[in-house]
Amino acid sequence: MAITGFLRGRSTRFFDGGVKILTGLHLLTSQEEPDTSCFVKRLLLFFLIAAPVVALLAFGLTRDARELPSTMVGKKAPSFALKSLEGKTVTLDSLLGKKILVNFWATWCGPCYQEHPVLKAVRKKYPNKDLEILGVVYQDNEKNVREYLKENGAPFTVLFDPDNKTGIDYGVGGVPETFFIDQRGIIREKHAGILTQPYVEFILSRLSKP
Amino acid sequence: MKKTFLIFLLGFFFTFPAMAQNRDQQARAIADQLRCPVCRGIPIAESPSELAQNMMKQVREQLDEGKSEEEILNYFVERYGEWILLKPKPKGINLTLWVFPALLLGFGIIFLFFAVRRWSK
Repeated sequence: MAITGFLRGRSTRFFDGGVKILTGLHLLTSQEEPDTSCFVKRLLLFFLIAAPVVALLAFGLTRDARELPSTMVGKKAPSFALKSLEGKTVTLDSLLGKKILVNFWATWCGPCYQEHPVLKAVRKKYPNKDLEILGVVYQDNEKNVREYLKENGAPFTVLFDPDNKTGIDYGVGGVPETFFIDQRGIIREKHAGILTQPYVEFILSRLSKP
Repeated sequence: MKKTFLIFLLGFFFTFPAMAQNRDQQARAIADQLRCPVCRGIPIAESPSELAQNMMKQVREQLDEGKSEEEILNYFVERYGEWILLKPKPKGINLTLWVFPALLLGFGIIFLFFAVRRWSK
């Protein structure tokens, strides 16, 4: 009875009761004089139910879903041995003692192209003995890389990472992504997206402090 | 002597493909739980992206090294965060995911019970 009444659009006591308890809204629009204590009770119930839902949605919907947490920060940087463009094998261990900036990039990646000048400026500003910049190639081939560097210059030691092995070891989800590793080999910061020079300089200045 | 060797050989040939099958199924079972960082909404087992394929390769390699399912899942969680698991672990704030529907169902039943009683009066 109640269900069919509801389906036909007629309000029944059962249906009305449910909505009334849940919203208390009928009291705001009702023609009759509402019983105030009942009104307050229902309003309270309404907020008790609505407030947590609104709070949860506000928290969930205002966050950037694409931003991933930096779980690697504070951990020891995973070691690697990768082939450079010159055919030399470069290991992380051999570079310890310097600040290391590991930049994952690709020639097909637009934001990487935009941050290329930033890396060049950083390379110019810091001496080689203090800072190592590594450009780990992400899903790209040697021919593209050579052409790209001939055109745009190379601010970093280019390393090839077959099968994304090192990328996955660092938790890379896309390019560009940059890791700042301190002199003891601890990852101190991770940045996903285009680098700016002030940001890089700020992070590098923090690496010199223990 | 010859017979035992033959049995051993036969046994080897029969179990070898079974083992391989097992490993692929195992890899698939693990990969079904890992979120593809590129596509976000699907597991790496179903993603055609190069990164997901390489992560699959990583799963298989680690299985070959004798790592357990838990160890492999932990490897990815350590690097990508708990976000990488399509099904969050039931602890801490995540418990609301498990508890809330049950609570809601409970409240719904209680509510219906009283509503129906009042309505049938």
